[in-house]
Order: sequence, then structure tokens, then C-alpha cells
Amino acid sequence: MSLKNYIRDKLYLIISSIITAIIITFFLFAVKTNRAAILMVNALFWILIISILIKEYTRRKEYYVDLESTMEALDQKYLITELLKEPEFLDGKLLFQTLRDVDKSMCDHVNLYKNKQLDYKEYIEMWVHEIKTPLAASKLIISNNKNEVTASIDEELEKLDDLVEQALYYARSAALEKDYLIRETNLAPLINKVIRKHAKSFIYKNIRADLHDIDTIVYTDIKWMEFILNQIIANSLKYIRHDHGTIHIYTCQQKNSVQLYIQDNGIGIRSNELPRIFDKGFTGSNGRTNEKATGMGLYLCKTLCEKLHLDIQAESHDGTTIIITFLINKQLLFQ
Amino acid sequence: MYRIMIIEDNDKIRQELCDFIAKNGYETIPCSDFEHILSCIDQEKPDLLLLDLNLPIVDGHYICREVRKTNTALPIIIVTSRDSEIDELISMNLGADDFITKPYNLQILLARIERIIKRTYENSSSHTLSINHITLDISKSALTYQDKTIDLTKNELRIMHCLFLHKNTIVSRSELMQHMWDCELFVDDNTLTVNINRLRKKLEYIRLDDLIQTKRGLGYIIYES
Repeated sequence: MSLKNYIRDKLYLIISSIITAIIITFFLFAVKTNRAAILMVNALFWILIISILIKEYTRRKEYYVDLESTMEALDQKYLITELLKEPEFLDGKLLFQTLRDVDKSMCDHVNLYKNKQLDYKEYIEMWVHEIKTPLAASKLIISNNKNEVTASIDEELEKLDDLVEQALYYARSAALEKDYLIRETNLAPLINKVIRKHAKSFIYKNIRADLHDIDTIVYTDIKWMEFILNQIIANSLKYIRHDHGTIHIYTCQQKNSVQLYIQDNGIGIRSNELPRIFDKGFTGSNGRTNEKATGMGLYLCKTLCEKLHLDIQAESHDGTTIIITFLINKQLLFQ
Repeated sequence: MYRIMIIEDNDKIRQELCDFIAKNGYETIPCSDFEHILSCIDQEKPDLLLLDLNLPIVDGHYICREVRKTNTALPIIIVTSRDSEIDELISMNLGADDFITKPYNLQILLARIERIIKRTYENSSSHTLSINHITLDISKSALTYQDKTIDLTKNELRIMHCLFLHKNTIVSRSELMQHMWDCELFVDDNTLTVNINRLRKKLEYIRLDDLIQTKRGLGYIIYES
């Protein structure tokens, strides 16, 4: 609020005061009042007007300067009502009250959606756990009745299981609160577990799994990490289509971080599509020409990595390399 | 024969699990009376407990805790569809010996049952299998025949183990590989060929030239006479 703007705002008062002063002066002249008295009346009148203007200006100026600086310093602008004191002038008071009411109703509204989302997430989690019971039952029936038909059904069940997991992690990734546990974790058993899970595909497609230097300690959540690795390896397996397929998995020790490389010699990703592969729903030319690609897998990996404070990148020369970077510095993680 | 009690509220899973475990050489005691589980455990005195967490009336954690109050030796494996770290942690703290999430890999479930039973009831550290006086010592990774012993590498041991387990039946190459992958030995087709050739050379050394027979196009087999 500058002085110029203030004066422009109060122009009506100044003009009407000038007119009033002129009328009074003429009137007093007309009734032949003493000159000194006329001067006196004028002076008093102007003292009154100017003091009103100055007082109004200073208290507004003080308040709005405070408001602007607080606003600027605030990260979450909607919290302004919590920090501001109530102004002393009436119009300010009214606005302040309105602002508070608006803010409160907005908060209620946001909370409503927050709760709805939480409910939904809880439902998905429950549903996922419920559906695992029939899945487990089906798998048991299959392993008690092994033949070609059930083996084929088993493959489909594996896919079903993966999709169910994806839904679970999607719900978890969208949730606002933390439900993961970052701990000191050895990568080797985790990677072995995921590879073992895909053993059938590896053996069937005759793809080599080449693991070295994976006996490394990192800080991450085991379940989430397993899901991420599972997605990446499933992708690699999907896009290797020749006889000498290999998936290399290894780690590299950097100064402040550990980098995990998952490298395949599959069909790779076009360089113009590379920046977008982590986008939600992006399928790319590989995904479109092949059987179903939802574009959710890598998007979820990215989202989960962000939540775990990990960096994930993709490179493509003669196949695809996914690089996940774990920070070693503990302090950074527990902030 | 070891007796395994299965506490699971889903009828089908209980039935199939019983069938599967019974097929693999254990006696099973299905439990469906959820009101009197604890007294049932007392009566039957099983050697191992397979326990689901989500149960009607009382939950698995409660049972686990109650069992531990009176019986600290009974091995308990918790099998559940809840897969949170917290559940696993609580289960372990309550004294469960293992924790497996649904839908589980049955081979892994079996392997864990076997391991826990061995650890609890069979103190002898050696674990051996034998066919025709040929002894495979798994803990020492060695094969003995007529006082001659050869040492086996990790891969060779797993190949022999798999063939010994399936004696008199043909084991295909992919089954063999699956078995090795389950043991976290990620070998490819060529490595398997190399390993089998080396294994045969070693077997020749102790005069077991045709122990492993090749069924062309089908796989390998060890006959027990």
C-alpha cells in the first residue's frame, strides 16, 4: 500500500473537505465574521481532516506491510489466517473474519477429501488382502493337480497377482501419510527373491541372470523396494526377444551413494521416448506394438522412489539400463 | 512321522494345504473348531503349527502368545495375507519361528517346514540321502560310494539333490533349473550342461559311470535298484 494509492482511494474525502472548507469560508465572509475567526475555523477543520487521514494511513500501512511480508515468507499460503493478528479498523476486521471463515470451510472441504481418500486406500488394502485368499486357494489347488491346463492357469494367476500388487502400491503411493519403514537393508536377498519369483520366465526364455556386487547395504523399505525391482525386472523380461538375453544386475559404490544398475540387452527404448517413460499412462512404441502395456509400472516405480528419496533413471543403448541411486548419508533420509 | 497342525479358516485352503503337506510325507491335523483351538493344540500335541493370522473369534497373534506361555518349544509358522512389516515384526516378537505371506510358493513353504523341523527335532547336523549305498551328504556337500568320497560344488550338489529327491522319475532340464533357481543359483542352460558333464567326470572317478542316465529329449534320471 503506497501513499499515492491511499490518497487516490481517499480522494473523495479530500475533495469534499476542500469544497466544505470553501463553502464555510464564503459563508463566514458573508456574515461578516472576524478574519481571525475564519482562519481559526479553517485551521481547526484541516487539522481534523488531516489527522484522520494520517491516522488511517499509518495503521493500515503497518498492518498491510506485516501481511505482505508474512505472506511472502509462508510456504503454504493458506496458513496465513493462523499467523495474522486481527486488525483494529472495522473494514479490516470484517475482511479478516471472512477470510477466517473461508479458510475454515476450505479446510473442512479438504479434510473431507483426505478422509475419503484414506477410506478408499484402506478399502483397497483390505480388498487386496481379501483377494489373496482365493488366489492362494487357487494356487494350492493347482499344485495339487498339476497338468498342462493348470500350469497355464497358474501363469495367468501370476499375472493376476502382479496386477493386484500394482493396485495396492498405487493406493499406497497416492496416500498422504507415510506407511513405509526405511531400514538398513541388504540388496542381495531382495534381488535374489525377485529373480527367483521370475525363475519360470528366465528359464523358459533362456535368459541369463548375471548378478555381481549386489551384497550391498542400503537404506530403504523392503516391501516397496521389492515391488520396484519386480516391476523393472518384469519389464526387462518382457522386452528381451532373442536367444542370448541377459539381465545384468550390479551395484556401484559412489562417494555419497550406491547405484544399482539393472541392465538388459532387450529392444531398448527410443531416445525421444526416454524422458517420458516414467509418466503415468505412457506406453511408447514398444508398449503399443506389444501385448497390453498399462503405462503404470514405471510410473509407480518413480512415485515410490520419490517417496523413499531414491533417484531412478533410465538409459538406453543396446537395451535398457535402469539406475537407482541410494543415498548413504543417513541424516538425509531421516529428516 | 511329524504331525503338522493347520489352523486356517478358509475351508478350501485348509483342505488343499492338508493334501499337499500329506503328500510330502507329514501327517496333518486340520483344525476348524476355532473356539477351542488352544485345548485342541494341547490334546493333539502337534510337532509344528501352521497358523493363519485372520481367524474368526480370536486372531493368530493371540494364539501364538497363548501357546508360547505354556509351550516354548513348539515351532510356529505364521501364514497370512497381511503383508505389512508390522505384522511380521509382531509375529516374530510373539515367538513365531517364521512368517510367510499368501499367495505363497509351496516349495518354499515346504522347505521352511522341513528346515524348522530339522532344526527343532533332529539334532544331528548331517543331512544325508542315499540310493544304492551311494550317500549324498548335503551339509558337507559330498558324495560317498564304497569308501570313496568326492566333493561337489554348490551347483553340482543341487543337481544331485534334485535327482536324488526324484529317484526313478525323469527330471527334465527345466525342472532341474527351476530347482536350482529356487536355491538362488541362477544358472543358464549352458552352465547346466557344463555342470552335468563335470559331475559325470567326477562320478567316473568313483566308478559311478552311469549313475545319471540321459533320457534323450526328456531329461535325466537316477534309478534305484
